[in-house]
Amino acid sequence: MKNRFSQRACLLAAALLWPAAARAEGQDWSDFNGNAMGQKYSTASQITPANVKNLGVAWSLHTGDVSYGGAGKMPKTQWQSTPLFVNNTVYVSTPFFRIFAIEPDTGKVKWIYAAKTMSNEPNAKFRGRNRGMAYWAAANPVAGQSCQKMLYIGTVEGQLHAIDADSGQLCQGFGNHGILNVNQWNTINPKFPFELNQPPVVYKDMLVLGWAGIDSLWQASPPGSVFGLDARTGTKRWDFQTIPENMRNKIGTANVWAAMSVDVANGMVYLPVSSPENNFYGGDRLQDMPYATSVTALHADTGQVAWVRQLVHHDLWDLDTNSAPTLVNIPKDGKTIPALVQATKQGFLFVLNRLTGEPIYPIVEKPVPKSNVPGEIASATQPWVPTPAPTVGDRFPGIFKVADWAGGGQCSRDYASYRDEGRFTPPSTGGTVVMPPTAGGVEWGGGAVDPTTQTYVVNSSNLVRIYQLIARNEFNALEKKIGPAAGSPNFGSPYASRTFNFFNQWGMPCWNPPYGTLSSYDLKTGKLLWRHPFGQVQQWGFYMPESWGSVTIGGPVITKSGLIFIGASMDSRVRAVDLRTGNVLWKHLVAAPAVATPAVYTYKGRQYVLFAAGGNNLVSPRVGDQLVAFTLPN
Amino acid sequence: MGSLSRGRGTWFIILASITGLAVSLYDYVTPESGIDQSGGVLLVIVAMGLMLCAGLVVALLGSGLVAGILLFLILLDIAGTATAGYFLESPLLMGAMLIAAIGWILRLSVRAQRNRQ
Repeated sequence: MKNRFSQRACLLAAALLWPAAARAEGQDWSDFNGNAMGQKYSTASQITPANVKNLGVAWSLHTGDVSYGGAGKMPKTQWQSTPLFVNNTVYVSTPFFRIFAIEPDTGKVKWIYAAKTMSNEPNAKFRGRNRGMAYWAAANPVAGQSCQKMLYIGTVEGQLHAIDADSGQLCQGFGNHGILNVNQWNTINPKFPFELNQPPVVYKDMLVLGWAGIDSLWQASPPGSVFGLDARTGTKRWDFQTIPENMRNKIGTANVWAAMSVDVANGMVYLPVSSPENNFYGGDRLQDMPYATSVTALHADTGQVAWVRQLVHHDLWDLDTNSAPTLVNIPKDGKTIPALVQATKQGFLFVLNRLTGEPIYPIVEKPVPKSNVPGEIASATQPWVPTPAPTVGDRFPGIFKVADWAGGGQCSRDYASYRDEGRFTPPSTGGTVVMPPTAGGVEWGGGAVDPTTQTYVVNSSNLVRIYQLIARNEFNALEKKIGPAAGSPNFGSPYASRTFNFFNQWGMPCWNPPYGTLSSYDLKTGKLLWRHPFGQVQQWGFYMPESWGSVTIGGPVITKSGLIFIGASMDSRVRAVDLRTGNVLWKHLVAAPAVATPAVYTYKGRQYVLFAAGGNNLVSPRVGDQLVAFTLPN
Repeated sequence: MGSLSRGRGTWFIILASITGLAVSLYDYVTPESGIDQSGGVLLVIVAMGLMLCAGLVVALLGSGLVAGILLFLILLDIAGTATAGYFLESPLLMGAMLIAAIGWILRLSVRAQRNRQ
């Protein structure tokens, strides 16, 4: 009797433990950000701070999908795709819009799906860039039927392909024989097709999809929209428009080009909404546009707005909200607050109650400088977040003496000629010093969080750019003379624009380092735990001192064992960082800057860290096509 | 050619420049080096080529004004390449320059010894 009881107890325990064991075995990376909450967190704990030094290459794969640019060739590729590990398979999409299904432990290719797109044709007009795929699985799969697990990849001309995750074949029931023409909804000022660079986010049996466009070319370009789609069929269930109806014909974008986050339990989807056109002159859009440069919460089932928080008023700096908000519960003052952390290009971390949009740490409205451009009325105040400490300082960090000396004082002379009154100084015709500019602060990789300790980690760039407005007639004359170097036309606006990095004539930054940092915060208190320069600048092959840090693109991930894995830097190295101290514990050279956020997974009892090393010419001219998995030795 | 001891120092320099040239050529063409196709490595290749030529000429001449000038230029080459090796994070290149520096000192010490005699 006792024996039988023991047996039953064992069986019961095994039955109870089995799902947990299966989950542990899986330790999937099923979303661009690891999970739909945008946390970039893995429960994997085999690789620890103590043994990470032994990490080595498990396998490496070159997809062949790379363009090195050059005269008459396709522009350099940007491979920013975070691989997925799900369905016991690694999936990765390439800048030529192909999907590779790969064995997770060997790197052997199972199948390849190639989406036909104008971007991978010879003499392609559009850049090949891709940020990944989405994965959906039926809650109650029908045995023997295909497309119960689907992958979605978008193309540069607004076509969303749905592929069976097992076979690599198009799912015929989705859209038109597996391809949904999202561009059919591009009806207002369709100057360019919707570029589906960022994959949709999955909510139950729905996909929520935004799109990217072309900046600073036309003021009247497609106005921002987001679509709720049936995951099985592609049928549109709802759409959300970001620009007030009476302005849509004359003002474009304020689109959602970055990843979104989903709170399935509360039925919410969170949208990082970008800035409207003209990016740098707002005299034609003085009307209130509450969704522009905001984080907006929608009820995911209906697309109705739950709340909105504008992060820049009347944006004149192209400070798009550019990364998926990180959703995490924060224990504070005896309560657990359902929170959201929105990292921004400004370097501010907005920590909000994700159900109401109310700030958990105060947001201060501060007076900011006025515009001196005729027709422009800059907002009198802008939102400021003192806590958590911004990742970027409020003022220009000072002239870098080495660059100034090397350039014969050019940095100092130029700086004296520009307008600089700190954050949110509006663009001007004489040139304005902007820090952080559109490519500065936190980029689309966003931050990562350990939801068990509420430790938040984020990489950030310290960039300085000069923004200059050019009157239309002056620009036309200049363009005739020097061609595209004149700047961005912003057709339809009284002002064109020119923006450039504040460098001396040798290409050296005119401002003091560091150029990039990695920071850690305790979200329970808002306190900065540590901040270190991160990565290394590399110029002509020479590595600059570590104390200078590097501009970064692509985000970090955190593992349960207390490690941060991140590529992101200019120097084509991937690193493991101690979550507790911020010290680099391991680094490894890869083929190009790993500007994609890495993926972490466990398969057959082994933990892997997977980097796509594809490069992005914003950080370095080096591009590549290497997918490389690291693991501990047997 | 000069004495065997003096020649030993010169041959150290020649050996180091060949090693530096090989290392930098390998770095230039190998994508996994992290510094491939870079201007910095190209500069080192040129510097190593010049050092090799100068070393051979010094070995042939043995001594004299031209050899003295070339030795001075070799010293500048060693210092510059070692600095480049440091910033290129190439320990092999720095090692090669250490050997070249030893050779240069050997060459100088032999010359000083000869002068004393």
